[in-house]
Amino acid sequence: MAKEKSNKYLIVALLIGVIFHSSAIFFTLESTYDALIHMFFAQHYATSWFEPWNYSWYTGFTVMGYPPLVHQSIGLLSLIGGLKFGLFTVAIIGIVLFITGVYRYTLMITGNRTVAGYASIVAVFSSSFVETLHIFGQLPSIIGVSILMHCMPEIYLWIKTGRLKYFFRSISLLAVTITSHHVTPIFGMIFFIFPLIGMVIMDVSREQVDSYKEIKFKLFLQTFFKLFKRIVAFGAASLFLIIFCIFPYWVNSKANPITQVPIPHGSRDNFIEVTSSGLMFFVIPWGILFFILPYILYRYYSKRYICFGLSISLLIVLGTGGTTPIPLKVLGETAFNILTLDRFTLWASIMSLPMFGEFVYRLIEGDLKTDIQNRFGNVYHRILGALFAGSFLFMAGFTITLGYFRPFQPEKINTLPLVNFLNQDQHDQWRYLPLGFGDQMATLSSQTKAKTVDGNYHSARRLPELTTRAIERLENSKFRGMEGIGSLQQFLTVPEKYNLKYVFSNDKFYDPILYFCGWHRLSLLENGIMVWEKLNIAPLPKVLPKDEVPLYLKLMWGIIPLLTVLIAFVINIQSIFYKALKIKDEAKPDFFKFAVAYKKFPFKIITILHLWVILLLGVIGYSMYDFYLYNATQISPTNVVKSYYDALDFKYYEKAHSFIDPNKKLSISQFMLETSVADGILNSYAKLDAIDIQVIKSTENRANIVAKTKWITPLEIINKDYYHEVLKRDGKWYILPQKLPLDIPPDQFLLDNTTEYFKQGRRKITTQQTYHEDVLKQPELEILSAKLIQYNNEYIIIGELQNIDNFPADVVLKSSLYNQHDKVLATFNAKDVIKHKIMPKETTSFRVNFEEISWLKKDVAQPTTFNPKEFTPKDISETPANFDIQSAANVAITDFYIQVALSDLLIENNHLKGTLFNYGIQEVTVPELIISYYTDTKELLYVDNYFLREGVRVQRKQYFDYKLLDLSNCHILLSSLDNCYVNGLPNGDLARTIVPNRNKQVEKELLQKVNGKGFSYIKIEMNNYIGNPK
Amino acid sequence: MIKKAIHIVLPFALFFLFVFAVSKTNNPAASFQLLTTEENFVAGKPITLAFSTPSKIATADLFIIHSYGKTLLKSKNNNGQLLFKIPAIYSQKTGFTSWYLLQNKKTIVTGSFKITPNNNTPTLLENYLGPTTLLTGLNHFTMMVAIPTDSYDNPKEDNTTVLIKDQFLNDIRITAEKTKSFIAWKNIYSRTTVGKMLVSTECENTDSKEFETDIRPSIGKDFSISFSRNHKFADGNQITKLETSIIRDQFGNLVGDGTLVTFQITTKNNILLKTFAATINGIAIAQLLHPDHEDTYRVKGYVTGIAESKPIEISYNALINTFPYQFSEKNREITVGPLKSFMKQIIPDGIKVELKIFHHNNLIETKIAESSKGITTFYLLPPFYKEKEYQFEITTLGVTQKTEIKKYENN
Repeated sequence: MAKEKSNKYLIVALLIGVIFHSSAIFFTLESTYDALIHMFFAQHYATSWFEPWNYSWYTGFTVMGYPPLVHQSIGLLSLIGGLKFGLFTVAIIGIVLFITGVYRYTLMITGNRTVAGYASIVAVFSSSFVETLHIFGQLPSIIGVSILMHCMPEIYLWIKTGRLKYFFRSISLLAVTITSHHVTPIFGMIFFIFPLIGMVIMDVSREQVDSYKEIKFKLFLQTFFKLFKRIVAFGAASLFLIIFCIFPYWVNSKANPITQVPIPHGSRDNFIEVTSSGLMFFVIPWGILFFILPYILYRYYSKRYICFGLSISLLIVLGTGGTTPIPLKVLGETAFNILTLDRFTLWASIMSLPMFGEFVYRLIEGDLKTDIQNRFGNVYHRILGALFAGSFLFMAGFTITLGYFRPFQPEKINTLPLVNFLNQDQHDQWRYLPLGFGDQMATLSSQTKAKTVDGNYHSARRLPELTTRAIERLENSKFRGMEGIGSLQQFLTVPEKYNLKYVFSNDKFYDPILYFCGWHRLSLLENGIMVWEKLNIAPLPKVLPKDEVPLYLKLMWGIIPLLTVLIAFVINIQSIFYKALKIKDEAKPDFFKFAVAYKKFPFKIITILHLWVILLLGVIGYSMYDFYLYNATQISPTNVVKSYYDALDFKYYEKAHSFIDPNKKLSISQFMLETSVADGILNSYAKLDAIDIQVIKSTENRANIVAKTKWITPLEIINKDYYHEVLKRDGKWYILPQKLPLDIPPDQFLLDNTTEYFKQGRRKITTQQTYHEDVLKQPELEILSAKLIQYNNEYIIIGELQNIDNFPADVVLKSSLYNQHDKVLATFNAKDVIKHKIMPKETTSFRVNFEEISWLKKDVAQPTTFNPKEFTPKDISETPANFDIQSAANVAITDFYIQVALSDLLIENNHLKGTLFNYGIQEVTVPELIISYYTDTKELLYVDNYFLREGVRVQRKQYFDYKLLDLSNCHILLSSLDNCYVNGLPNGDLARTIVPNRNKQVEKELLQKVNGKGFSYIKIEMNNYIGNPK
Repeated sequence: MIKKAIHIVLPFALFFLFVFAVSKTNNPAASFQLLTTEENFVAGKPITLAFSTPSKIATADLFIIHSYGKTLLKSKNNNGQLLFKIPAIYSQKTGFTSWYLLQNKKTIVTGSFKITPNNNTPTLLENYLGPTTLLTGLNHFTMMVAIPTDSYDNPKEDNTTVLIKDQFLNDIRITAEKTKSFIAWKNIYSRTTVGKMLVSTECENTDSKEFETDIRPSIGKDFSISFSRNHKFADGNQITKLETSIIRDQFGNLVGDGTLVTFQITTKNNILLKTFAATINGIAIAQLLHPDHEDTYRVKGYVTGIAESKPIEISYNALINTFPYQFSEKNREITVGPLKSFMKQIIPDGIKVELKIFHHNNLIETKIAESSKGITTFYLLPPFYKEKEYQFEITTLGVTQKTEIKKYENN
């Protein structure tokens, strides 16, 4: 036998692949979805190899929830050159493994080295691989599937020949697959190895007859029984490995089963309805492969590959997610909701690669080329080839640059200031919460000892507050609608439960909710991240709870994964050397015998392919036209208004301005000025969620339009109707500009005197605990009234309190309900119906709702609409007999803006219509009204709040319209100050020494008489949030 | 294989058995007698307990219970004598110590001794002062607590004299307090003026550092309010300033800066309006926008539940009594104005003008517009207002005028 030459195609593929991908990963990998999580896990192994418990996320979790090989490898390499070195090295190894894996897999399938070479070249640019690596960053998945492909020829040879060396090679490689990714071998068994076994049986049967056509089912069955022992041996060995190699993982899954509410994933969407998911999880992974799908199916449905044909069909169907009902039926409800279905498409595309390589080979230098040239001429063949290659490369380029043009992550955050902040002044003794960090929160976690309540590996979530909601992370809760914000609000309202003291906000969106939950800004770090702080939070205890696992599991987890690599290396190194260096002539493996001679490309396949491509192009063309029509901006009155709001939502002012009637001569600068003067919850913190445009009146050339908009804000959902007049000019519709407010403020220049505060903290420069004498005395509060009420079947605590000290106070108010036997029924803190920062002698009303950890019970229907204000009241089955209030005050130094006057009020038709006037020098971004309701005997009955939609600018008015509540079913159950405590002492004890003779009558003079349903008086208080303090 | 293992293991097992057996039988029971006669020791001095026994080989362990903890001491029989050296961490701490001499887990002799503070070492002083802020007045006090200790951090014996000193302005007071239950303390009463009080202590030539407590004003007394404004007209565009007199506490101190004063305004229609201000140097100045219609405001200031002012009245005169309006463009354009102010000047932009549109006395729509250069224009587009006649009601600056019924052409 002549010495085999090195396969130049494979060498080319490796060279191009390594250069192309490894230079690209430096720009893509760190902004992928998963890479940073893998880096965080790697950091864990690098610092505590054998200890599976990690305190950094979710109040502690175990890393035994994810196979460790890739993480451990990165961790090990990080000891040489740091975490990123480890990450990139493993990624490059993954690239090499993938290209060679495709080569070996194709070689086994086709038995043709040239075809295998072609397949390895196309694998480099295959869009599914590019997407998995450069967009998803799923390193374990890539390494798992690559090793599986390396493993398959060995399995084939073991079953075919029964030689033990193949058996050991195959199971050693399989063990590596298992320890790098758990899902790959389990489903790989079904989708790759079963068809492979089928193919071996076919080949063995083929040897007994003259052609594949003669193989009948009986022969197939006979052969199967002949090979049965080998198959069972392999099956048993692999089953054992799957269990043994990641045994701690299975133990952990049993101990902490995934009982979480499924998190929505784009791969389960209907791809036709949610086109972005369709793009990410169907169009991109298939890419150009989809155009030659008939060829792939034709080849895989030939008799030899029939099992692969069935497998790939199933994979294609499962990969369609929620587009068809089949995946749900095949997988069942549970698996459908846990698995991400994009992996099926990935596998289908990888399975297609050998056939793709074969197709390319036949197109470039094989029978397809001759056939096309003979029938359609040389020019056609060249044009076709160029188009094919061009669009193939375009898909790869498009995929790799997608993240550049449409970033999936917030801009890269410099974490150093955060790390420094956490290390400073013992800030890491509390938990922190990043907001708006994207997956970069994992980077921060891998750089600091400090702990967060959040995390980025949702299968490991432990707090019921998180596992009961379909939210991945608190950090991006605004994208999870009501559940996200609702969950975040609970964490922010009761932060002491989690020792949560610091919030790093990289997204202004969350600022109002932080303020209204009683947090304040601490400092703006040099990377532009705002640190928010909450007072009165105890530091983390020195010893934190953890779930202990037996030593043998720890040892297995720490030793087996790398051992599998070592064993696989030792077992396979010889054959790799022989193959790569061509030292020794190896006998050609058996599968070479079954190579097909590419002699005659069937014409009907050429015809079908042409028809298929035309059909696909037709579909693509039609959807583009449809897309254009839907987005054509000025063809109808509704379209122009819709486009106008879309443009405003994304802050494309120039585009929005182009929809304004040009005859009105509104300049772009004037337009921008008018749209951006008003600050407020709607203008600065809202995301347009839905818009419904209706025509009120219309004529040929003119129409009155109402845009019913729905905005998501961190505080509540806001519905607002905007009225527009539109008119038609030269066939295009335009919006008439809105009239701008003409009101001019009284003064041109104004000055203001206020008292400002500062607290030193430690006066000595020392890292020690704060000295006793540097601790400020807690300001003294007095709870003036406290009541347990029942309103709409919900038990609520309301009351009023006053800061009777000379220092401004930050108030934290916590209330508990008790039954007759003094058993606690519920505990919660006052959220946003209280003024948390109060001046000396200022009073505030408060309300405490007892919130349940939302939707803890499965049978309670989850609301489908978003409303962050909504929450599930705690189901208190017993009637509360008593309650207590624990209030604590700490010296506050910021956020007391009181210069807003109620300058006009009209009570009509059960509405409060009023005017606020801001006489100070700060722009109030979100004014909140706290409205207290009183009975006819001037007894407090209920407290409500209302956020104004727009801010109040300096020396300007802002109008509000508040609908008064119907309180006919609101009852006072208990009114008592007996169990009220201030700073741990009984309410009133110290207050009487400060205010010996309180004038109770005065409070009653401050009430506005109204004729309401169930109430007779109201009081209005204001809580002003300044978004941008100057 | 197994046989071989037995050959190795067996000699070892036998050897250990022998060793343990020897050590087990090596401590014959014997009687012990305490030689040390002292029962009082001074902290920091080494303490050794000596026992004698007739046996030359018998040993015993000494179990001690000390306020600092418990421990077991071992000793050797040195020619019929056993010496137990109490570790320094125990002998440096004062307290009552019980000891038990144990032999073969049985108590043979027991006894106790006492360690007292070492008065020959330099005295240390530990101090606490709180609260660190006080209110003016005769009932409020801060407590100074001093704990004199020896160098080993043992509190001194009771009745040690500690001098507690405080300074407020020119007044320096020194009192001598005796320690009782380790501490000496004094309630230092507040004064009637605001300021900073410094406190320190002294004991046996050791001086403490300076401690401070701030005396802050107590709650304010009733006050009066006044107002100032540019003119008396209700133009909706000027500011009236409301100002309190200097608010003081009962001793004449200015109330703390930042004290919130609520100004409540009661209008002619018994509507309550509000504005707020915090005091600076006892004075709170709040601002209020003029109404845009004639009104009389009754204003009262409150420091809620604590102090209040007598009410004052502020009247605002109407800016206009009537205003002109015209219909043009086949009655489709309604021009209101020019609105003129008290000196016939054109009113500032932004005055609200309300147009109510009636058809057969049914209200169809209310349009609101703001004036610009004194003029406000409304336009009724023919496609949207198709009826043959309309009547209007125009309201601005508190004045309402009803127009006659206007006829419209249908086109």
